[in-house]
Amino acid sequence: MPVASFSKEIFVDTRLFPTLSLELFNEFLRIVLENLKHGVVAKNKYSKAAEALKVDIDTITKSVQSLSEVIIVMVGKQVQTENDVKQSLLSLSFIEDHIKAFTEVYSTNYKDLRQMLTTMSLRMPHYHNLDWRLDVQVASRCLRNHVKPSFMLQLEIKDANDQPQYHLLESDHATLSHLCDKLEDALKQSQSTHTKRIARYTQ
Amino acid sequence: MKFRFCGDQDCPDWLLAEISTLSKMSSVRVKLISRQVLNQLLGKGLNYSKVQKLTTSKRFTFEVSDVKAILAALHFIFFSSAKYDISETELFKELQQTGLPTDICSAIRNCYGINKLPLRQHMSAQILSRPRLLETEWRVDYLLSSSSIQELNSPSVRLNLHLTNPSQGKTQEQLAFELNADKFRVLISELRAARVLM
Repeated sequence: MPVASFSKEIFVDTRLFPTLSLELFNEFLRIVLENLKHGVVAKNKYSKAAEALKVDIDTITKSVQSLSEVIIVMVGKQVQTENDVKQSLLSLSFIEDHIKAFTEVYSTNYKDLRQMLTTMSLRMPHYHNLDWRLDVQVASRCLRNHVKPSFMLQLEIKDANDQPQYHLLESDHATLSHLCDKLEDALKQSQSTHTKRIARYTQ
Repeated sequence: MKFRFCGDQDCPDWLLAEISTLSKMSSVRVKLISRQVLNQLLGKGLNYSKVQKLTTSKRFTFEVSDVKAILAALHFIFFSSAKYDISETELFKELQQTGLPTDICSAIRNCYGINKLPLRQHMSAQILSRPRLLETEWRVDYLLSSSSIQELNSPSVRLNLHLTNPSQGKTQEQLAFELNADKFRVLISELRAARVLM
């Protein structure tokens, strides 16, 4: 039953919300979700809201940022059930109506936000494509009339920024079949009892 | 069951599972969708809106996952048959063995027959390759003198090779180098010897 707890700065920055009406709070929620999905809006777009509420632009920006942080911390800790959401928000002194509106928006967007967060974590260079061909060398400058088969492999790897890197490799049949055996062994390990036990415990 | 269009190996299970989805379509629609799939295989892109129109009708409704499955199945059939150089009649017989209705089999066979050669040509252009020569530029200079020798008086050849590497993103690069007359003669005789062996 994960319940999120928040830092002191968030307590300070969310003081604006209990003073707002439900409509305005929904507007804030909408802006926060836009920011999370499409990137941060420029500060000068908050000027209208700042004038209407009679606070300065900084306060609005901080409130939007703190609400985004609240959502991200809760998605990160896998807060899912309504009760958990309520308990997490109680510590921030949100009004009942606001909590209901928040819970609705949160549960509809939970899956998308969770997927977005997984793609943003640390990425190692990862496999993208393997191209291969089988060549037979029939002659060279020094030696004619021989038969020498070999495999040419091109391993395409994408690094953390999705930039492709190409590695060209050559191999003979014995090395390639040894490589395949080792990789199949590695795959079989994922079906072993030890791995299954660990998978059971972590879920 | 081992099929020749799968390279004498077992037909993948997902393909056999999609046979029933594919059987629900009419042969005319299968032919039009196959044309789109072949356009994609030939690198001309897939017009998804056309495929959408062809997969919605009053008689049957296909979900997005079904449309994807149909496209994947047709893509696999055409790609695999062209890869293993299967003739039309063989493909027709094997598709019938998978349980696909005869009219759909003949629609796929006709599309395959027309496009087999262009498909194989396109696929052979995509084979993994090292940088390829596009163009050769040459120039013969006569060196008069330099800072190390007052009177040099020797000819030299300058070669500029334009290379492209389609397997690594079609980047173009230029390789420029210089040779004196003797080295150039050796290079030409070696290349002629290699040419004879081809």
